[in-house]
Amino acid sequence: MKRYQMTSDQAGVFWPFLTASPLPPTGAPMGTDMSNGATFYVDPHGWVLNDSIPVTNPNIFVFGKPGRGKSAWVKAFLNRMFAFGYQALILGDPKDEYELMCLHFGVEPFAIGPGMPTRLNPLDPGPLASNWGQLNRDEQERRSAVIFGRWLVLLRSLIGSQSIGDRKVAVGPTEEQVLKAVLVELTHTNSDSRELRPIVIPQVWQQLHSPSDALIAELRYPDRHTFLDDTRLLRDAVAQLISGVFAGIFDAPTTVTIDWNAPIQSLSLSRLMPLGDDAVGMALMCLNSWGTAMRQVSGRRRINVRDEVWRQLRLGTGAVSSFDADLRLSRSHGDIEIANAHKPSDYLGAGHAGSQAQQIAKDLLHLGDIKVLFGQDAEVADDLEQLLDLGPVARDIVTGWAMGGKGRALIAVGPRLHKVALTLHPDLELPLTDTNQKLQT
Amino acid sequence: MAARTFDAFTTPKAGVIWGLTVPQLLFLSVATFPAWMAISSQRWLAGIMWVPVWLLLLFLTVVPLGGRSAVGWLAAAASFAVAGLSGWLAFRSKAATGTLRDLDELDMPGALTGVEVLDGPPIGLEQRRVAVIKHCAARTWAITARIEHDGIAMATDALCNRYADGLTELLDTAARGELISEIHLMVRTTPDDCTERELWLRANITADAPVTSVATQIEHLRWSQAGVRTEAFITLVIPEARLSKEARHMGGATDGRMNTLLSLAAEIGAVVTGPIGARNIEWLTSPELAQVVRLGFAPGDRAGLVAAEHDATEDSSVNPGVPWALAGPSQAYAAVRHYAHDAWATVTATVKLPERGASMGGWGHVLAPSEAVERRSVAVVFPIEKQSAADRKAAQQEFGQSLGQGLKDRLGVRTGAKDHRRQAKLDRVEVQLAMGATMSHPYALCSTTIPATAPVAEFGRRLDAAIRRGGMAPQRLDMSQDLAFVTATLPLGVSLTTRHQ
Repeated sequence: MKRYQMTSDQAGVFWPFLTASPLPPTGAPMGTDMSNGATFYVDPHGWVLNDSIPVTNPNIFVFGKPGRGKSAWVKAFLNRMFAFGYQALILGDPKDEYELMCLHFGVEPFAIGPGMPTRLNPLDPGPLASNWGQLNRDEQERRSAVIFGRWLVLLRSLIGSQSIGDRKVAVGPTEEQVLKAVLVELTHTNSDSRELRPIVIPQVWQQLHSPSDALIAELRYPDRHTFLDDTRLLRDAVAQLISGVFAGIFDAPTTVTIDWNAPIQSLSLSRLMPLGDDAVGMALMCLNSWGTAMRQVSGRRRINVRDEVWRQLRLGTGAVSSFDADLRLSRSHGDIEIANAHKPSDYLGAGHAGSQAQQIAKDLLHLGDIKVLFGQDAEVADDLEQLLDLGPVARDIVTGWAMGGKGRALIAVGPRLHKVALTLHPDLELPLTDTNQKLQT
Repeated sequence: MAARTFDAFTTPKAGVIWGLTVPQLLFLSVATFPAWMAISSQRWLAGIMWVPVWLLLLFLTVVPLGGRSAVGWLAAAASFAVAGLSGWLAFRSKAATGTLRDLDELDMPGALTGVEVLDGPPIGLEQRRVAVIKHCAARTWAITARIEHDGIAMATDALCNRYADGLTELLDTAARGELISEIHLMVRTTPDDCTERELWLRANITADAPVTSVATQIEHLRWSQAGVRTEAFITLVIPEARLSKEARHMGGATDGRMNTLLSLAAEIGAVVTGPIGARNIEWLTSPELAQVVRLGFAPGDRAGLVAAEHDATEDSSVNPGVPWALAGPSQAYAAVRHYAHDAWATVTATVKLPERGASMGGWGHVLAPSEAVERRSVAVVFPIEKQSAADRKAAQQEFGQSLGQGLKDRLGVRTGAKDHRRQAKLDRVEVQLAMGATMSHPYALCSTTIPATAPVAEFGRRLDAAIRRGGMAPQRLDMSQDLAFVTATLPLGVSLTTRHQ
């Protein structure tokens, strides 16, 4: 037998711990971990509950160049989680990618767009408002704070995403106070404890256009004329939401009735695509707000998929804040949020370097402890290192190995990295996940 | 920061003069007698004729062929033949022969005959009783822990260097206490039977789950069986002579020994989870160790044991434990080039490191099974020298090297690059020792375990090829495969070197 003589500083040559001890075999099997040959299982809820795994929230951020396999990964993940009672809600499918999958599970996706019959009220109070009259005052106040908070975030971001020239419409504390007072008056929460009245955006405009004397007094305006002068910009921005490209989509009570027993539901946005990125981004904001309200309808565990979120994030600080709020709410409710984007810097498209939007976006990246990084060009390498704090190993894998084939991804579970190649069953999954079918036909 | 390359290691020369051992020297000296006798009787031709014969004897005695000299091979073959004729190579357990009386008594083949496993005192919040391995024949004690580590597959060069420093600190910490004589690190990659996954699926698939999703799960369960599970262990070996002295201050007798071992476990555990970077370290209890040993002999039994453990949580009549009497093989046989145990066969090889040095990570190829049925294992043993002995040996070597160099200089023999390099390495060792580093004589064993129905020779070749792919040279431990198997795959602290102080 060959023995060596060495001092302890040379012991590293015999270092035997090369591959990671496997994660628990729970959740969805998402392919083979190339570094240890074991199957890699993704179980966001299981990971959050397991103290030995450095994950504190179940949010998943997916990054990758178009065509690297992002959508296939998400669809495979959904299919594999359905077996454990999970349900998926696709909050905006701009390219009808999930249509095939919905149809396979016997569900017709809801289509939203100009001229379509579907209406979706982003100011829907959702199930939090049910049995309002039977709640005690404290509970009513707690719930109304949650609902009002969501509405304000949405309105602020929708208004703030509109531009005058190359400047976004500013929504400061005064505007926010006005909006809050309008919402309180419309819902009658202070005067009527029997119900929280559902409201729609045209009512908000109407209230701003013809304010009641009580509202003017409450907001400390000397007279109606001053109020109308000071809120002109706000009023016109709200008017854009109901008279512009979104007329007849988000300005009426919701007509969508979700079947919560179906494994998947999708809201298609493909009809909005011709209207441009801004329109799709604003629609995504409305959908996300509505989706957040719908959260407590079902007792089952949910996976919310937000595709192409970068469109929404380009709409400004308010839009980034809105997405941030959705993610934070998801943490408290426990749904799995999956956000798809092309590259980490998409989250910074909202603002200039050092701006508030960019700071929120940076923090936002840390709200997702699970990151799935598909192949990227070398130019994105710096983003990976700086924004995600993943270091040079991740950069080399994402720009090298992951570019070597579709479905190859670096999965970051907290600070731990795993090289995982997605495996799709040729008969069961490939037909559901192949996004190139339209090209082939 | 670039990854470090480790090349400052030498081969310890066992010999005292010119690299020869005393028996070799005696034999070669005696072998010169015929020549002297011929010369003294003035039979010049006979004297000259004896020189080539003596040179042949020198060649056979000194030059190693596959790790041993020709004489060494002859001696090993003779003792192997004697062992074979005496029936010592084959083992049948008491359970197999129907003579089993005590389920708690170890019934192991060959090298494990003198091993006993005792329960330590309950410790910690969970009141775990850590298993203590007493090796009567080698007069050592050992404790074993399971380690969870993230590995270095995704580590940066800087992190690799930090881990290497961690390993250095582990040896230094062990040496400072002057109790631990050996540290064994073992990694086993076992075929994944997916039993845990199957049990989890049964408990978590909902009744109204879509057919496609359930079918996908079942297909993936089948696919996943091509994967592997990695498990790692650390074993600390302490000689009775050192332990008994220390135990006097820790309560005396067995209690004192147990307390000493547990305090060592805590000390080493802190280094393993600290500088070494392990996620978790768990010192094994007797039932856990019995299971690890059983799976060492029979990797295929894992599915049954895991399922039984699960069933035991629901049905108290199920006994998931492995009695020590049944932890070993029911039958085993040591062949020349492999070791057969129950329905499995294992081939074990040691490795020669490349002279130019190696960086961390070369064992990765060895730990990757070539087929789904294969279990690979790498065991690294660090025998630790006491500081005083290390200094003495280093000084001896330095002296020998200087003497040889002086002789060469006087004779005008050119000093080659190899000599320069060896001198530099010895100088470096001396400097490191002066700075407080620990001297060690480590060795590594790699093994492959496959079902007995598979072609053993072929898998042995694949293991050799994997070692070569890691930049090292394999050296099959022929005629010692039984002992090599124990060291390579069972974390019981049994060493191939018996130089316990």
